[in-house]
Amino acid sequence: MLTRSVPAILVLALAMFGVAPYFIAQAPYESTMGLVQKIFYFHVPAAIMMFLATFVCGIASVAYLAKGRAHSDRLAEAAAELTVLFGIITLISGPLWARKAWGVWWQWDARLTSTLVLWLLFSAYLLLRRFGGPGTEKLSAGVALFGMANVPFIYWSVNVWRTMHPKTTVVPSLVPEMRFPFYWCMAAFLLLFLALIKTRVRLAEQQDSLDLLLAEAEG
Amino acid sequence: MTFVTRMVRLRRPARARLSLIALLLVLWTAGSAALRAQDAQAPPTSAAQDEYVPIDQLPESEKLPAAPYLIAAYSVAWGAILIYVWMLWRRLGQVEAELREARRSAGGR
Repeated sequence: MLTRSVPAILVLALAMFGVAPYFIAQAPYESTMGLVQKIFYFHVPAAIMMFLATFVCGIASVAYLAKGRAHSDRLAEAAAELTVLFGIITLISGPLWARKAWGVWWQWDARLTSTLVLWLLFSAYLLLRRFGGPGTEKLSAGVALFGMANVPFIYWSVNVWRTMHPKTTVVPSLVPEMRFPFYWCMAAFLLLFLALIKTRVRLAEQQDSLDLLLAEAEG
Repeated sequence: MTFVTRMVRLRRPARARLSLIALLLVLWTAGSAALRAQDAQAPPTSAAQDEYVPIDQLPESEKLPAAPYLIAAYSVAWGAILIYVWMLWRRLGQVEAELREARRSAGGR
């Protein structure tokens, strides 16, 4: 059974998500993009959670490669799954925003392309774990390291290369009326992240216990 | 005397002139009918053909609406989260049930 904290965190996160549209609706419109800019309040927290999950996966992979502890490997696998989940939200909400704001669904610029590459890397990680067979844990950990190395490149890409994507200065410069709903959504996404990663690690632990029990019964 | 016999008896230049007049008459009739039909079928258009007049503001009806994109983005986010939570809970429930069953079987032996 899961500890009581996980359902409580999950319920709190979902309640915060339920209230979020009210705060987002109260936030002022952006002068050049108008209504569609409000995608920002989910798009950016989802992207930040994607990066956070990537870092958790990368650091846990380093720990697994260094010490070989099973818990690190489970944590890395859980975080990789969350990278893909939050990546889906980021990579779908972004083009919907772009279609209205830029007039195109997609631009092959540094930010968008490198984010897509990150998502593909972690999709490859999960496929490797799912179909690679025994012994792919270390190979997957190597893939996760490549993914983690990609994150700073993605973050600074908008400041270094010419792109249509908003720069990293946008969030620190938000007016208070926009800042509050943004950090509300950030908190909701962070709570969701915590609940999901704890649940996913628990699932991996239970699966390992079951595999061990079945192996003992067979042999 | 029929029209045909009268035409045959006419001299060649006169016959050619009459044929030309007849041909022009047929073409004019057909052309004017086609033009009338075209006028009747042409859809009313507001697109400027003579001159372009600039405006400062795009009419509301011409703007790409933002609301469907906003709703789609939030629906995708909510949908992805809820589907993943449901799948995770289901997988966990299955594995825990299998684990309980395996432990019971192992304890019985």
